[in-house]
This record gives sequence, structure tokens and C-alpha cells, in this order.
Amino acid sequence: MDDLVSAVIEQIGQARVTAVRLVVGRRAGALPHALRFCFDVATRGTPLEGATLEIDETPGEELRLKEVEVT
Amino acid sequence: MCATCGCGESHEHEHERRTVKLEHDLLAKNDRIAAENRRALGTRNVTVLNLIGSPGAGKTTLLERTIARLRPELALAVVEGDQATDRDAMRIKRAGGRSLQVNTGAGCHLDAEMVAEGLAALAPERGSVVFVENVGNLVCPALFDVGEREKIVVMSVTEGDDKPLKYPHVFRAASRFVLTKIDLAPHVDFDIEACFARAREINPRLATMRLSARSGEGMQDWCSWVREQAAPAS
Repeated sequence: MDDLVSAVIEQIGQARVTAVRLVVGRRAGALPHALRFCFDVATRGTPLEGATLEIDETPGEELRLKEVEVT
Repeated sequence: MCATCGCGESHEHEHERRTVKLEHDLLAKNDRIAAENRRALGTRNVTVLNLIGSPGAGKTTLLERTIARLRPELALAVVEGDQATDRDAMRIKRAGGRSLQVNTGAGCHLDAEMVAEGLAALAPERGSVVFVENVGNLVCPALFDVGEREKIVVMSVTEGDDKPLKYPHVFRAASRFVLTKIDLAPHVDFDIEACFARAREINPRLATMRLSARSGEGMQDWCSWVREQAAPAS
């Protein structure tokens, strides 16, 4: 989750993020429920704080940060 | 000043929302470090085997007995992963192996970076075999490549023969399944053949072995296989 936060900041700088979209494969071993829980904790005090987390579930093994919405 | 963006506009204005495509693989950082571990290990002729299993599966005991049998002829070292204490690293040292303890705190697995640090501190000699004894857990360690040659899932007969179906990820990620504590099989309702069949249902290429570190049954086959994994020292 810290990787996600640093990857976003690296790409978009300090712009405020309002939404984060992830692609999570059902075989990736990452549970959407657990990701949502960690997301709130990991984004606190960062430009991602308060952003909504949208998760597209796929049948594969991928765990990918697809895009973010910024203002 | 606009409170949202600090742009200096005194009036409320519409903030344009834009979407930025990132397409970033979240496991990429770990995979990059794992690839670097694999490359560095290759140039030093060091083989890494990643042992994954539940707490109490018998991973440390298996390593103690393996070291005792192979020590004169093969250099063995262990990167020990546990949430707390250096108890397992001490057990390996007492058995005659070199070891380094990594404590993960709240963490549930070893990642490539932790293993890279462990390998740097251990500085294994050429031609040696290094076991990574992962944090006791059948779930998360399956996801993290640490630069190993093989992932080996270690499970005991006291855990239940349906575990491959219940924890399929680790059986899919592993190339070898070592069933331990087979000396206890007569005392527990564990169907070894059914368990192996279920594991191969998940992963048809999975090699299977059965042994008891305590009685010694199957240890010779296991140790021969470990010896074969070592690269020549030069």
C-alpha cells in the first residue's frame, strides 16, 4: 500500500487525488476488503487522503494501479 | 483564496477533475529486487530455496536435520523470517548452519528487499544453498518472489489433507510440496494420496515428497535433492 502511495505521488506530484482505480485479479491474493481498510490508513496525511478507492475485479493474477482522478 | 487548491481565486469555482492513466504494476518493485537477487545469486553460484508453510509445519526442524546430514559436504545457510525473536536462527546455529534472523514485526511474509538484506549480511559462499524460511503463513508468502530458484510448500500430516484446496495460491506458486511428520500419519486421519492428488489438481507440475525429520524416513531423498540443487563452487 505504501508502494501505491509513492507510485501516485511520483507520477502526479502533490495534486490532490479524489479517486484511485485499481485492477485486482481474484488470483492476486489481495482482498479488496483488506485493500480498502489499508487504503484509509496508508493515505492519511498524503495527497491521497479522502480519495475514493475503486476496484475492478478480474479473474487473473494482476494487481495494478490503473489510474487516478485529480483536481 | 480557494480552500481546495490555494489558487488565489476569491470566488468559488469549478475544479476540473482529470483522470491520469498510471498503469503501474504494484508488485513491480518487489519483482525488480527479486530479479536483481536472482542475478547476483547466479553470478555467485548460490542457490536459494524458499520454504513456505504454516506455523508448526516443521520447517525449522527439517532444516536442522538437513544441516546435520549435509553439513560436512555442503555449505548451508538460512535466512529466518519470523514476526519476533531470533529463536529459529539460534536453532540453526546450534545445528551447525549459518543463519540470519529477519523480524517482520506485524508483517506476514518476507519480501525481496528483506531477503536481499539478509543475503548481504550472510554473504553465502560460492556453491552454497541458502534456505529462506518464510514467516509461518500459507497465504501471503505465495505472492512474493524473493529471487529463489524454487518455492517449496511444507505441510505436516497434522494439518488436514484438504489444505491444498483451501490454500490454492501457495500450491500453485510452489514447484515442490514436502509433506512432513509422516511418522504421525497412523495417529491422525490424513489421506496422503488424496492430499497429493488435490495438490496436483491445483498444480499438475508440483513435485511431491514425504518425510519425517524425526524418524529420518524420506530424509535421504530430500537431502539428495537439496544436494543436487547446489551449483558448483567455481
